[in-house]
Amino acid sequence: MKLMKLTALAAMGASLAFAAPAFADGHFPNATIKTIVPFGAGGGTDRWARVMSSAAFDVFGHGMHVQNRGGAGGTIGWKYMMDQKADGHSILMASPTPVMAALIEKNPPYDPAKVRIAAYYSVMKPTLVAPKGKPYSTWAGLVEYLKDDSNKKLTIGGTMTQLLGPASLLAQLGLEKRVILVPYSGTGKAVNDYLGGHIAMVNVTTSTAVGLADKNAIVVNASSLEYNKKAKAAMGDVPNAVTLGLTPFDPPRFVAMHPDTPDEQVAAMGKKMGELLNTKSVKRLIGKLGEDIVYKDSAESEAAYKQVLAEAQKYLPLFQ
Amino acid sequence: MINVDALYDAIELVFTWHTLMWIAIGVTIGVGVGAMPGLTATTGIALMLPLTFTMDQAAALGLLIGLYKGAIYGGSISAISFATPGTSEAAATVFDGHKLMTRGKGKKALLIALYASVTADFLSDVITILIAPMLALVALKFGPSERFWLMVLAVCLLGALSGSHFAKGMLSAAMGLFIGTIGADPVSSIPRNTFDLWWLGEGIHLIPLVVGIFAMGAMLEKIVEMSTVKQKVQRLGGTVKGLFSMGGEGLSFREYLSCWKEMSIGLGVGTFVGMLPGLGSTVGAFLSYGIAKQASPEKKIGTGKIEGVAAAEAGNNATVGPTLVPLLAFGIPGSAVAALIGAALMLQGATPGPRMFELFPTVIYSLFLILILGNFFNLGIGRVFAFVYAKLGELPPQVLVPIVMGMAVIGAYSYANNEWDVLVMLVFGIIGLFMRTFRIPEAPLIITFLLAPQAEENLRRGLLINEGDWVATLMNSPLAIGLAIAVVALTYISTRMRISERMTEIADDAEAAEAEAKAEKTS
Amino acid sequence: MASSDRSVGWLRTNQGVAACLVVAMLALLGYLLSQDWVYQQQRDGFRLGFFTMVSALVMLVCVGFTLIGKQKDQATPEMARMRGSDWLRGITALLTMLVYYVLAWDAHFSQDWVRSILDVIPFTGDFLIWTVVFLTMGMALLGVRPITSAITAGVIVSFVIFGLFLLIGIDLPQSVIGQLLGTSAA
Repeated sequence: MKLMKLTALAAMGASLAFAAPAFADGHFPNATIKTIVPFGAGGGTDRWARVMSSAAFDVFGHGMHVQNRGGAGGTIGWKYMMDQKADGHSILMASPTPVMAALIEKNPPYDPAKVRIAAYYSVMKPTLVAPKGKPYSTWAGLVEYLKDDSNKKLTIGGTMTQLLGPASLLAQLGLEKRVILVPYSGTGKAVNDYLGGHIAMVNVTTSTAVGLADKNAIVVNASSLEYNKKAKAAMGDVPNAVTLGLTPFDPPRFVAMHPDTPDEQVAAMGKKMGELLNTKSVKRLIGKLGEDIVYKDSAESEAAYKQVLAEAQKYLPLFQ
Repeated sequence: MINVDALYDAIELVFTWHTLMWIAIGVTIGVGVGAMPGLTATTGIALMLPLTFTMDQAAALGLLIGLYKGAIYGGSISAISFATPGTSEAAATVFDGHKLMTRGKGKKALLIALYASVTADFLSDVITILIAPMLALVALKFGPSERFWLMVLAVCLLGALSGSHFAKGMLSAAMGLFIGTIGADPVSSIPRNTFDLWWLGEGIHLIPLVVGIFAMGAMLEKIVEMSTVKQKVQRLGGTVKGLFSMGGEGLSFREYLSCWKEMSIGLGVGTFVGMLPGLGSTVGAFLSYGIAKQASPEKKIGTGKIEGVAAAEAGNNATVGPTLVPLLAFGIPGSAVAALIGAALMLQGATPGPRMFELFPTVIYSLFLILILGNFFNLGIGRVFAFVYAKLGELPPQVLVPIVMGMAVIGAYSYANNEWDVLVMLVFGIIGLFMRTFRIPEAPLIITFLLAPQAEENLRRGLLINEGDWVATLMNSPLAIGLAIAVVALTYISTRMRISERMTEIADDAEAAEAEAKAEKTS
Repeated sequence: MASSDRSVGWLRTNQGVAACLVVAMLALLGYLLSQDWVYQQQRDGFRLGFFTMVSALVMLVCVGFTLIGKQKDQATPEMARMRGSDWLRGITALLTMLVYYVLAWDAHFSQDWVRSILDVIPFTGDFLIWTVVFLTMGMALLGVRPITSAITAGVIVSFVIFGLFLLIGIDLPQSVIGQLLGTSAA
């Protein structure tokens, strides 16, 4: 009985310690990290969060407690993060989706520009896929084809985030009016329509593109990043925005924090994230999921984010 | 054609105690998760996915697929016992299932739900295994135009669910359309019809809607009933003892066989709906239920018939195997669950896609074996759950109502951990109560809510692709034209049928009620 | 289905209810017509409010048919039975649920005033405590006697639910009792 009381007291003490303000003893983080996934369980972001949390204890000395807060295009989760204390122990596993949702919304619950970013953990590479043997199966061919006004407009399907990639590249060449951007709510539906011949081209993530590379042509990678070895082997040489001399569109996956979080905590969290992403098990699992780790620390991330936000704001009107 | 070595390997992998245990665990968790309102197969699988990081292939697949099968069936248990669909795909099961329950035939209803689920699931798995690539090619023919017509056809097929007061049925459908337009515009993603509430930006989700209209609506109705019927003081002692006794009217083999027609409809509809990306098992269940009702008006489905339960349950479980078709054939997941199973496969080193059959034959065969085996586990474990729940359903409403209401709150929240969903659920609870009181049928609302936004999305996508050319959009292919003709023909036939139905309806109703009363007295 | 009953007041007949609904639908239409977004044109030519307006109009037409249709003088048995106090009871039940939810989940819907109320109430965000309270109260109010059995049932059910969710790995709001048992996730 006494023992039970003691354990109970110890547990109470422990729980109080959890609630104590962060940074008191110089160690950071010094409590479980509330990791907010702004989507329901099971999506891409959720998978990243769960893989990362599986190795968190070794790096942080504390766990990452993944909480799904889905709804309203990710804005519910983002807003929830804004409602937490700015003590560095609540992070949001963000993606472009809640950013776009807030940009489109008339009365957004938050300003997507007002956020601290601890780290980028990945950057998507919007990849344009076309059937083999068409005049537009290569980037040069596509540009040529679109410049000739006697050709029909081309349809490109994909999710909105993904579509912004080729849309921005083509807009830089003044060709955005020669394509029809067909938005889909999921990559699967878009690929289905593409394979059925209902749309001319489809824009997808790297892992989907690798799967399609066998029987289709990979036209362009709208980001500034190179594919990894495995993807390169499957898809061959694909031009990206940088090699084409265009401004890239790099939609990030990033760790966002409350805008009032002190600088040193943002930087510390960013550094820890780097360590976490560098652990063997995380690398292995992410690799198996067909995704790439692209780490940027907080300073780099915030600069890159500013740019991608500007790009998104510039090209979103193409959909409206 | 068949890689015999790989098949042997797969058999060795799957038929181990270890794998079988994980299938059993998966099914058990699945049925449990499915039976809790708001918790879906997707949530369950997503939560279990990290567990599979360290498991071997066969065990991982066993856990996830077992869970999937269990959850799709599990929803029907609470639908029948408490009129609270555990998952949205079980909502169509409420109509007949709960009526049977209130007549003291809960066990019968639960058993036909289980057997119909397992039968349709098993057969659709076999179909998937035999002709997956062919099915996938058929699915590709469905582009925006074809899908648009398919949705319209589905809505027309469901005329039967509108009940006897046509205007009220249509009102329900229009409400579904109205609610469906809340959220992002399919072309521009701009939020519309959100009453200036930012948290409605993505629209209303199916789970809080279904939980609100069905579960909360039913519970509120019970509360009101309890107040009109003289307040009875409820003593618990006796009923709790009753929980542990066996009994209740079972299901004979002949009754099971008598539902062959409904199960076949469910199998066909479910298989077809399952392989098309984006439709899902809820559509499968409602469509199958609606068609079955229209196909045999003499069976009076909707008044508490096992045939109704069989049609709905066969329709949703038959989607399980076929949802994996696009994943296996092209590597593109057609649903959230398929995406998760795809992720599990990738984590096990087998990337789903057309070359999977050459590259990872053992994985494919293991998957197929587990798909089939899972049904047998579902049969056994589902039975246990069914009996327990049938007994729980007999608890006095004074005890049951607060529990189910509490569960509805937990479910509506836990589905996405979105605090606003609870509010949405409660609002639909009062709408549900009104619909019950004014006898506005629920089914058309759910159907148009599910299908109309997709019809709109596809129509507008088609117009976008064809640069505003309506003729090119609507008459895009022979398949689209065929579907359009089917819509016209169906509308014509069902209008004719409605008139003749009306004539006999009144006489029939009285007769049936009399027969029912007699039967009940003698049994 | 519907029973014809002359003793039922007009307001409870199909026609009476439909009349109320017509007013509601007209108000809804008026609201929609006053909104800017309804007229906003999209790049495919559709206006943002097109389908919403269509659905609202169809609702109005259906309600109109109910108003003048063949069964206009009938009342559904449920409608005939329901009294004003019953509706009140239903709505009270709903509000109770909302209060239960807000307390057990410490939910403030991003509203400062809700937050400030919640801050002065003890044990907010404690699933077990509030679920026991809610279930016991609910059962007792609905007529479960003796009260002790309502309490027993409330406690058992709350713990079973909490335990099951813990087992599956779904977070319910953490609990003082949960922490004492060392099971709380955080």
